Amino acid sequence: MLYIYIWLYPVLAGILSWILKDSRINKGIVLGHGILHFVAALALGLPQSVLALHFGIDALSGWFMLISAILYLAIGCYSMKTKDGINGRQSSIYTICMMAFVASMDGANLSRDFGLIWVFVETTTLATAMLISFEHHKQSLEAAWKYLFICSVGIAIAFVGVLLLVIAQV
Amino acid sequence: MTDILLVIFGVSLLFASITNMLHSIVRILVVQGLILFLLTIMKTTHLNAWEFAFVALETIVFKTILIPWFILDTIKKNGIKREVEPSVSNFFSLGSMTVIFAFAFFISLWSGQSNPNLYPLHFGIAFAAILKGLFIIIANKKLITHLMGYLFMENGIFMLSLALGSQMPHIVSLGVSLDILLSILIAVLFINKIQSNFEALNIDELSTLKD
Repeated sequence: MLYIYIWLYPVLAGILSWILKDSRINKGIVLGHGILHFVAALALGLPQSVLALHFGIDALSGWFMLISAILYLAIGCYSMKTKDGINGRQSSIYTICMMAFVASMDGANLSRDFGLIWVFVETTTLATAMLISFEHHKQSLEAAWKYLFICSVGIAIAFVGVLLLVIAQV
Repeated sequence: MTDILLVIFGVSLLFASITNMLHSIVRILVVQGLILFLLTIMKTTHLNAWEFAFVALETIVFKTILIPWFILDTIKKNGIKREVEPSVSNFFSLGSMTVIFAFAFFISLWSGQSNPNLYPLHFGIAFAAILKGLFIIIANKKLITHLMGYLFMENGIFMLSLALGSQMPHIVSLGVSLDILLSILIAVLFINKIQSNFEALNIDELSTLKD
């Protein structure tokens, strides 16, 4: 069930964030997600049976989950003191993209299938591109476009690698 | 029949090297989407209704209808000039495509010696499509043609995944297609924003950030 909560919270909180478009609530949502994510990473690190066919945790992914959880907790605390100039809509976009990014990273960490890992890493690219272009000035747009393209092409070539691994396995 | 479709796909790559119009490249993408649909249907041995729906969604709906429509809409909304405006001549582009084909078929025949399941024509054309996509991205300055080059690459990758037959689960293929659709949507969003902030949708304009 913990696997479902890792993705259910970002989806529901993202919808709530988009409906309310309130900066203060959005900060609370990101901090809440950071705390929940940290607790989930600690819980997943404990020995337990695999609940789903496509998702599971092993020693390496447990480490990565814990590292990302600590970083995201720090980001959640930092997000409480974001700029005052942003409006409710921009704050909601930031909240949704940040949670989507972390949920995708969790998906990549927990996936047992190479294809699924690829899907989640691609989703992190998309969420991060929106975060990079958050401030909407020339440099951020240029950086976001270059990031999106370089990562997309890299991800596409990584998918070729996944396909070649599958061919080699057959 | 699959050989004919593969050859048509390969010819479409050659045609993309010599065309000067953006609309022609979009039409090539539409044709490639249809070819991929037909190839998927022919290559999959048993297909139930759900799998057929997935395949139709990925190829017909995404690759043939939605994505080309998004690109044409972006070209129209941003007033992008209809010419491709490549950095290299058509002759060089065609020559490079010939070399890409030769290299791709060399790799596929060489790999096929140790793996009898590998079909050289299929693998070679798929690999050539991936390299062609990269070439389009490198050889053109317009951002919209970069997007089209990326789509060529994705079509080549989809074709490569068909070489696996039924090894790739359909849910993963659907996830891949959804991600590609989302990345195209986000790229189109960025193109609209770049248009309003920069003078032209050209990679030369995006040069403020440097090492």
